[in-house]
Amino acid sequence: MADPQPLIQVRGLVKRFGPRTVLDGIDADIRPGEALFVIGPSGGGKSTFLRCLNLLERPDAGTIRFRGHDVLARGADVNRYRRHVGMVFQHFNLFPHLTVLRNITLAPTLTRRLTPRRAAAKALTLLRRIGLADKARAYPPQLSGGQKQRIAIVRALAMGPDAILFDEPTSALDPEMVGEVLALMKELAHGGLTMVVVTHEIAFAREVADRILFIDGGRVAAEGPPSAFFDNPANPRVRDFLSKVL
Amino acid sequence: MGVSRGLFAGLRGGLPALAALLGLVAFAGCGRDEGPAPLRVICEATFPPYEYRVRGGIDGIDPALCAIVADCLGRPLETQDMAFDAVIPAVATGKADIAASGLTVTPERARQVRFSQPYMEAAQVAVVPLGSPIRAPADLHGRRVGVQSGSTGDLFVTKTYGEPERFQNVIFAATAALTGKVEASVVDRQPAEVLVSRTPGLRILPEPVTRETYAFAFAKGNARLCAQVDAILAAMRRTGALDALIRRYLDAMARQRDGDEAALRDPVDTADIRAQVLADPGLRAELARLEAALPAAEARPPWWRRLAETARLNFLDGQRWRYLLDGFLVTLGVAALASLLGLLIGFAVAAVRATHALTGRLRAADALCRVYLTVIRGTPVVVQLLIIYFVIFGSQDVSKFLVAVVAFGLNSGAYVAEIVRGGILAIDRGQTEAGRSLGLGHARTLLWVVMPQALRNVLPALGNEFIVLLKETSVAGYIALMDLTKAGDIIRSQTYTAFMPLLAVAAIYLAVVSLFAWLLGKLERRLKRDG
Repeated sequence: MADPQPLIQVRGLVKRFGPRTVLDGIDADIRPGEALFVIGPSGGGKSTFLRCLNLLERPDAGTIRFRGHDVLARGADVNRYRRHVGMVFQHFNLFPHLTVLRNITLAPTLTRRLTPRRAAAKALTLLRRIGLADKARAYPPQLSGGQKQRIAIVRALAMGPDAILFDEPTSALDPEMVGEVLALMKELAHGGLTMVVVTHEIAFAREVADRILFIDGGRVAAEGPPSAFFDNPANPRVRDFLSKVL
Repeated sequence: MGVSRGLFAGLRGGLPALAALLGLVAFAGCGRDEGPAPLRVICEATFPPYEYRVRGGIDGIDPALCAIVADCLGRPLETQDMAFDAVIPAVATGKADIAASGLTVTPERARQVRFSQPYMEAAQVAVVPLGSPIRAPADLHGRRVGVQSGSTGDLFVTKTYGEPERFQNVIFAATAALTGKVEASVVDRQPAEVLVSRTPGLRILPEPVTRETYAFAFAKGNARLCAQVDAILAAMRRTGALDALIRRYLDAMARQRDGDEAALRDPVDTADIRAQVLADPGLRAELARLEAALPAAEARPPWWRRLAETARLNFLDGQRWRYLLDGFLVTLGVAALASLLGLLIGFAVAAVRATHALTGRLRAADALCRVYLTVIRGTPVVVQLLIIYFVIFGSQDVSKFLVAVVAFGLNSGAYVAEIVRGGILAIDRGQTEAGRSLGLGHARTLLWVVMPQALRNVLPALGNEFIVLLKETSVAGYIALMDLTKAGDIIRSQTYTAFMPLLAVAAIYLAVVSLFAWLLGKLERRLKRDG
């Protein structure tokens, strides 16, 4: 099977915060349908890389192409790009003043992606799938952390994106809530959703990832399928990292 | 002069005299009107020929008559100039002995003070610009009419033709007729004649608007002084001295009208008339008889009777409570509409400023907003109100209500903007990021995600801003809009009551503000519970 055209192609990505260079020339391809897990030591630039992918941070140099189109070009429609690439945050960032249902339908209806009726129907279908249909009329502050994060994932899914970026989705959760979120992510990965996941859940990465990207010091230090990455790490820094987290 | 002389005499008299004086005071019970106590006379000295400023003090028919009264009673004279509005309250509360200010006798005033016998017949006349269609007093119906606030002209026009425009003094009222701010002004005949003689372009309607009599006013309880003044006036009328004195001032006015600038600049000499009255043996006997027969001051009715009487006068008579009601509705209306305008402006400005802070866009608009905030927050609201009325809408005939709404709305907008901006910036950045990551633009994210949360957080502060605004509208009277505060002023000028209308106005403000504060507290508790 030939290597398919990447959904998102990243070349030479540089991001600086003041004098500090956080990303120092990242190259990466995100292929359709794959689950790409980004791991590495804290402060290595994983989250910044993810936020650059969604343009929440504007890169200082490099290119990001989505289906071959340069999304950093002058005049590129950032909002349209983001409708194709959803994001799930560490702290969920649900809208506390809206019901769960309205959290999910807000963006699809405002952007005219779906009529209000269809958006509500789709939201209820998704909520039923994750067993939270009874929370449709609840407000986010009334939910547990695990429920919030699953609804945040559903909110991203409701836009029908081509890919979803997960920024440490379980880091803010109590341990007993981590399982339900990971289960949902695993289900989505198996369903063929393109995912880029920044996580510290090494065991989960090993089980679900199609490919691992190891970022350290603002660079891609290693990449490859999980089997090779975890079982035969060639890179001494990967070995060092794994010895600490496993 | 008179004061210091009396004082020195008392001091130089030494201890024995002082002891004798004290004994006399103790014996008489209350010696306020006796001895060397000065005769305190008050007037508003812009009313020739009755009272006006001359080189070295105040002269006119009233001061000249009072000087004779003081001579007859052997008391030094102390004349004080004060605002016409304040003359009756001052004498009613005993701050002065005689109000001698060309006062017309009216039932409203007679309830507050005791009047002497009239010493002069006078008339209120209408002053109109040359070529005015107003030819007789009947034509005043439905016109904009100017008056001196609190004058009998004010009372008569209010009763007969409807609400007038009220000016500080006769000169302002006449000028307003000249410049077209009003179509006619109703003022006393004699000052009107002086004014018209000096002001080309104005004329006086031949038929007077109303006829009236002038008299001196005293505190209700001061029957003795009133009787003494009556006796002096009666004696002067009998001997022709009263006519002679009045004639002398009218002559001076006529000379001034004919171009003799000095005629009203120096005091008119009435020493001979004074001497003639003092020499009247019958009058001296009568004054002595009155001095012995009447008590110095009658006991005033109990405080609750006076309070009830004052309340009736201020709120029930002439349905004066309607002023308060109308003013209250104006105040509420201005505050509510200005609040809406302020919210509109405030949210727009806050949106611009927050957008600039978060994205760096809208630089020019942000700079403009900053100028607006600096100017509005750096100047008093009453100055802004006056500028908007006289400068921005200066040449247009625009509703004062509208001007007030615009001025207070613009003012409130600046404060709302800062409240809302603070609320927006206090919302977690993650909310914006979540909205943006879903493909919503900056404006939609601000409108649907950030604003609703910010609004909820700043609702109590916005409520407070409304309360502040409600109270700030009390300066609307500066552009002659009759709000609640101005309504109280109008009642005061009609009833010559110092405090009660003010206290009523304060009570109404307090009640409304307390109500809103209570509702606000409820809202705040509820937000806290739901949050």
